[in-house]
Amino acid sequence: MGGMDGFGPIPIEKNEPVFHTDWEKRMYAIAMSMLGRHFDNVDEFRHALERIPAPNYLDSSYYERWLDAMMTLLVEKKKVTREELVSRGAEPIAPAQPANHCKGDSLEVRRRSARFREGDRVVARNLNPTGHTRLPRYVRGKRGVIHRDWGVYVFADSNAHHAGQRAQHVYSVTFEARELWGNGAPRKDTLRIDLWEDYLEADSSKTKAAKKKSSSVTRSKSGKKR
Amino acid sequence: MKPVSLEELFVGTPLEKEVTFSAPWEARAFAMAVRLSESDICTWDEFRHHLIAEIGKADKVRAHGWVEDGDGYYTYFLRALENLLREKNIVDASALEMKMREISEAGHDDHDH
Amino acid sequence: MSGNHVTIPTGAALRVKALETILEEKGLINSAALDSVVDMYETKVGPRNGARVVAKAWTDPAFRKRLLENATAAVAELGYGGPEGGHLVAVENTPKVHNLVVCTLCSCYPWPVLGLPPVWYKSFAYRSRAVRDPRGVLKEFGVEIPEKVEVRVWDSSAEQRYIVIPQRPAGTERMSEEQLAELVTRDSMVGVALVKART
Repeated sequence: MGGMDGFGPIPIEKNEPVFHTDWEKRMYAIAMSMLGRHFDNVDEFRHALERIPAPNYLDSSYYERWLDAMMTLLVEKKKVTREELVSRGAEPIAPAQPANHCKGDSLEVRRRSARFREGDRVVARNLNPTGHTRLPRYVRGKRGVIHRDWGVYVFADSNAHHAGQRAQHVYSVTFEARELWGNGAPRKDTLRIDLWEDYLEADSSKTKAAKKKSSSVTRSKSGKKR
Repeated sequence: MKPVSLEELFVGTPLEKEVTFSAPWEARAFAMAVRLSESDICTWDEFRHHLIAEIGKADKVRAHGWVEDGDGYYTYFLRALENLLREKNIVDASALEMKMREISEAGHDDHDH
Repeated sequence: MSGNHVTIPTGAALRVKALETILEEKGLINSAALDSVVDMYETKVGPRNGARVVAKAWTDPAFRKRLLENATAAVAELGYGGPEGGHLVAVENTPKVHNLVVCTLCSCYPWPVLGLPPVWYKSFAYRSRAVRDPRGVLKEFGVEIPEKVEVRVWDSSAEQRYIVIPQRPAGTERMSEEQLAELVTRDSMVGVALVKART
C-alpha cells in the first residue's frame, strides 16, 4: 500500500487498538488521520463505507473496506483525483449502484423493495421445519410488529428448495412474551428476533388485541398514518 | 434425567478462569472455519447454516432427555465444517478417512511431518 | 511433528488434523494464518473491548448517540471490527427496559467487542430458556428485574449481533473512562448481569 504519503502525520493513539497485522494497524492510523483532516464528520465516512460495491464488500477484509471508503470519499471531496490515486498504486472503486445482492444496501433499494415498514403487524409463517432453519419454532404462527428494517441480505441457506434463496429484506420483529408463551408470561416482556421477509405475512386479523397494538403503534409515530 | 442448571455450566466462573478453547483441536477447527469464510470458499453464513443444522439435531435429542454435553459445542462445529467441505466437493468422506489413517500410521512409525 | 514425543491425535483431534492437512495440501489454508486467528481470539479480542465501548458511551453523549444509531461504525472509531461484527447493534438498558441477548439457533455473538462466547451461552439450557423464561435465567445469574421493568430478549437469528449497554451504576460520577471500563463485565454486556460500582 505504498503511495499513501502526503496525507499528514500518523497520529499515535493513547489506547492503541489491537490489530491482527501491522498493515491493518497502519491502515487504521491513516484512516484516523484522514477522518480528522478531510472528513466533515463520521457520518460521511460511514456512508461511504456503506456504499462499497457488493463484491468488494463481501470479499474484502474489514480494514480493506476502510481503505475503499477512504479513497471513495477523498475522490468525491476532490482532495485527490482518481489519477493521482492510481498513479500511486491504488485501485479506487466506484461506489455501488443500488444492487440486488448486497449485504448492506443503499437507501434506494431499501425503499424500493421492502414489503414491510416499521410498525406493520405481521405473522411469522408456519413453515415446514426442514430447510427453514432461520425461523425458530417458537415464533412460527405468532403475531408481531416490525420494529426495524435492517436492509437487504443474501440468504445463504443452501437448501435448494427454500424459496428465499435470493436477496431480501431482514426485519427486527417484536413479539410480546404473552403472544409467544401465553398469559403466564410477564405482561411487559417482549422478544425481538431478526426474520427474513419470506418468513413473514401481513397480519390482517382484526382481534381486539391486534387493534389495540396497532393503535398504540400509530399513536407513538406522532400522527403518521399507515 | 436431571435438568442441568446454568450454575452447573460455569455460571459465575471468573473471566480469568474461562478458557476460549478447551483443547487445541477446537482452536484449529474454529480457525479453519473463520479462514475459509474469509476466502472465496464460503461465507460465514454458509458455515452457519451447517452449524445450525448440527446443533438442531442435537437439540432434538436433548429436548427429550435434558442431556447436556458441556464441551460438545465444537463437536458440532467440526461436523458442520466437514459437511460444508463435503457439500462444496472439497473434502469427501473417503479422502478424510484416508488422511486420518495416514496420520495415525505415520505417527506410529515415528516419521516427522 | 518429529522427535520422540509424537502424540498421535485421536478422535476429534485426528479429524481436525486430517482436515487441516488436506486443506493445506490444496492450498486453501495455511497453518500460520490459523495460528494467528487462534492467537487473536485467545489473547487479543475479548470483552475488554466492549467494556471500553460502554465506558465511552457513558462519558461521551455524542458517542453514545452514534453507538445507538450505528454500532458498527461507532466501535470502529475505537478500532474494533472484523468477523461477526459487520452488523453490530447496541441495545441500551434503561430504568424501563432490561435487555438480554441470545442466539437460539447456534451461538452468534458480537466477537469484535466481546470475543468468543462462554460455554453457558452456547448451551442448550441457555438457548432454550433465555427466550422462554428470561427472568428465570436472570435469577440463576443472581439478577432480579422488577416486574414493572420490561425484559426484552434479542434473538440473533440473522446477521445482526447485539451488545447490551448496561446502566451506569450510581456512585461512579467521579470515575475516569478507564476506571469505568474496569467495572463493566462481559456478563453485563450479554444482559445476564448488572454493573456494580466497586467501593
